[in-house]
Amino acid sequence: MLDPEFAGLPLDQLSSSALETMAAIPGLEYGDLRVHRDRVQGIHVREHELISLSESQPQGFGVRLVVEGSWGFAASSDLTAAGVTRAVATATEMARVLRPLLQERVELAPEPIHQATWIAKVELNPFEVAAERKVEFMLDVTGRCLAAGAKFAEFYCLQAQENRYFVSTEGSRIIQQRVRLHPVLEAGLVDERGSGLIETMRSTARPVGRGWEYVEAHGFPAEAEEMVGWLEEKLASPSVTPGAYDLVIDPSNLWLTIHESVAHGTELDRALGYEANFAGTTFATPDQVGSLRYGSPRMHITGDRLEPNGLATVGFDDEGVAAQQWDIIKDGILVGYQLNRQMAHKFHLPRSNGCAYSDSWSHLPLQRMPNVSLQPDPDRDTTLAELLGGVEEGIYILGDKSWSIDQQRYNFQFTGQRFYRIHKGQLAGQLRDVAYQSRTPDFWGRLEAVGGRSAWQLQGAFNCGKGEPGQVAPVSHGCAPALFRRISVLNARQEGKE
Amino acid sequence: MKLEEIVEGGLREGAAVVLGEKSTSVNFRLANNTVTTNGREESTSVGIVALEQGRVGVQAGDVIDSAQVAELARQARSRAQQSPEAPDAMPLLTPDEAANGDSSDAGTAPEALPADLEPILESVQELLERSRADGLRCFGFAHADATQEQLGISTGVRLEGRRQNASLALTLKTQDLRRSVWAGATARRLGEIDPGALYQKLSRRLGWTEKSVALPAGHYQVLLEPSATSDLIVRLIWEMHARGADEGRTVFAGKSGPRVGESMYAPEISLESDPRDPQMAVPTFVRCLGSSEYGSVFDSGLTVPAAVWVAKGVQQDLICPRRWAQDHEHPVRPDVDNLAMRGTDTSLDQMIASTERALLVTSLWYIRDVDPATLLLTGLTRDGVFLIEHGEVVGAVNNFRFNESPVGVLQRTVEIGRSELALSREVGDEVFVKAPPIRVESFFMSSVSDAI
Repeated sequence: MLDPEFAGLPLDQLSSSALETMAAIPGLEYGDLRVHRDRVQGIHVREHELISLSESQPQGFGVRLVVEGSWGFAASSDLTAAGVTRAVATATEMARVLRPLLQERVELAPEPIHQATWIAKVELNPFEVAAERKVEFMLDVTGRCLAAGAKFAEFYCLQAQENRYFVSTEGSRIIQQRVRLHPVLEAGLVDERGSGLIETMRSTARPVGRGWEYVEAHGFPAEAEEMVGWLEEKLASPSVTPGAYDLVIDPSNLWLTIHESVAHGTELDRALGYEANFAGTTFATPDQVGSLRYGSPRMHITGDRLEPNGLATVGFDDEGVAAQQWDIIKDGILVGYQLNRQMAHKFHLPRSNGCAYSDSWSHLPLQRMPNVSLQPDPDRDTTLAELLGGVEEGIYILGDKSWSIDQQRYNFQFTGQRFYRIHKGQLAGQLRDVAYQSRTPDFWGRLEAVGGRSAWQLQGAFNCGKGEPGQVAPVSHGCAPALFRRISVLNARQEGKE
Repeated sequence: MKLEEIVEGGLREGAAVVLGEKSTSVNFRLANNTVTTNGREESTSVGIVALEQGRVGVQAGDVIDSAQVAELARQARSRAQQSPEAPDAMPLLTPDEAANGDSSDAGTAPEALPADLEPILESVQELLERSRADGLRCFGFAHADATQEQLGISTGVRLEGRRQNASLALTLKTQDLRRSVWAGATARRLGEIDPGALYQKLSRRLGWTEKSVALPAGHYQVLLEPSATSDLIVRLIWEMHARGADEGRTVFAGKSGPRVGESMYAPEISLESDPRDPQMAVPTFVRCLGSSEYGSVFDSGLTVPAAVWVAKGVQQDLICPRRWAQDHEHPVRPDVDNLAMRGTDTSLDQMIASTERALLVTSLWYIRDVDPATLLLTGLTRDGVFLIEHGEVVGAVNNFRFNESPVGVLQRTVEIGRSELALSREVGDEVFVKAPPIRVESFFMSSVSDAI
């Protein structure tokens, strides 16, 4: 059901005000109005206490114009017809003032006109669940961690509902609503053998485009107790010996490597220098489409805004382009990019693939990441056990932790939550202090096998950062466990003592 | 709506604490010698804290009328009724206990609104023309923000705070994109930044890249420019909270308690903060809409004093809200919005001139925690690593991934230069930082990055 507070906003009045004012602007080539009303609730419990429970309800609108080839953008929280009229004038002024700095006209790839309402399906909207029920559940879980022996237990849950109204001078009119949440459970024990400080472990539960039912059904009560056991084993485990290892990487870790080394590396705006001052560029330049070997022939990467429960899943993007799915890397070769309408036009493509997103009414939509996923083995339903069975001596990695990659998406370093030694095809106890470091084309070139559809999972993040002013976007990445041969592993603790 | 109406309206509806805020921001981006995007945003918002017998409810949102303020206050009260008692509950501050005045006491506080691009547009246009004429490509971002806040507490406290911050960052690349340099500047207003001077600095550095030197991973003496220093010291202060130290979760936890009083850094290191510093003035009172180890909603209105965090290499204090301080016998130390590392009279050029062999690192990027026990961070150098030999820059060096702790870096700091307002490339200008260039022995570059 559409949020009644959002439905109660004077959307038609704001729309009329925007379109009428835009129609009178000399030299106007395009215009749109986006109205947002979001709800974001954060709950944070620690041990037996509620630390904070807060909700914010940002609402406002953004007006985006192309006047004589120049963007103009203005945004305001003044959700009135007069406020919209003022913002259109401000956006026009921004376009005019910055026109002398412009060397290249803004042009947009065409998109059919859409008039639609799209509401993501959720079973239990978290904003319709009593806070008491949520807090009680979370405190029960942290209590179980403590009862199992944890010294420290913390549970965050961030929940968000996005409502958007989009209208353009081309004739599109779109209303959308989606919900997502991110539960994060962390437990800690004192590292008696090491530093004497607390070592923590986080649940591998993932953020999803689902409702509160996901939190209650995930299995946190049991995982809380298991995590303490895993942590005890980790603290007693040997520190890894640096070297080259075969890695079997679980989806709970591999999603982030896909995100950083593939998904950001295949954004066309990056490739064309639009992020060169901030987020960076990419080694995957447009002249290499169809020829750049990104990885082994096992590598099939798709982009989509359609995957059920995906964090980047929408009906339409923030410039009114319908959701789609497409190939980015096929048989290990770069074949496509993520695009918005401006980038699609620059790349001489007939249509955008729908990657415009703005994290707030106050920000201009940028080309942002769709769900970017590694497709499973198309030929057989390869299991985790089969992947492990193909390793004589290696490491199985679960859960994401630290991540870092350079501005052209080459050199990266990742850690994880749990690391198991693989010996003769079997798991042989945990290791600690593992970090893997590689260079993107080398790493993906060493991809030997990908798990099958049954092992494929959707993981992701709430907070992918890009753009100036900075914006955060939610995004999912699907993958199955995968086997990589001979990857450089560091000992993170030794690195700090070098 | 006026801020007074928001604050008084919220309090009338039973709120305990109301923080009203009006802000304006304006920006534009550059890529390949042309402007790409721009924007101007204006907002009016409120954050409301309701208390019901030690239980807390917090609601925030953008508002246009008193009915919305009243509704948020009602929701906050309802939220408080559904919550268990807050572990950080304390009596709210009274006018006698709260901060006095506002940040305009800093003396040079400007009118809060509006933020404006006009002061730099002409000179940015000139530098883009020069970049084109030089056969180069210029990329960048300019923005200015202005915020005005009013805090009201049901005890009668009324405070006003203002903040302005602006920055300009430019990246200059050769036409073939094989050489790249970055520089940034921050100030309270764009008019205080000179785009031409920034471009000159970049031109000089791009000249240094005409010769390139490939170097392997390893330990190097490095000169970190102020931007790079600031990114590391901000990461350090983010960990300086008493709770984490008490609980054994951070590098500030010792075997027998927090490491306050311990010589953790080289004896020349001093870190301070002062909300009334005229170059980086920020509100002088606590505004907290969510309790954590850094602050408590019950502490809103508390004075943020000038503070010394590290003096002559010795850790002096840790951030600590009132309730945690009371329960654990620590001094109360509010969180801060600016940070200054003490410098000397030595310029960066003088430091280069006195260098036998070292790497000059201009900016750091993608810095992430690896090991909280040591505050080991990983990250990369970006857009400007140079080899200095016999007092001169002799060429550009490839980029590196580093694995280092700011604690270790400040232990191995052997020379400090002149401290200046610096734009942290990773953190941005949300936190005002004054930082010097520093000379660090044995900085660990873990691997080579191919990125340019």
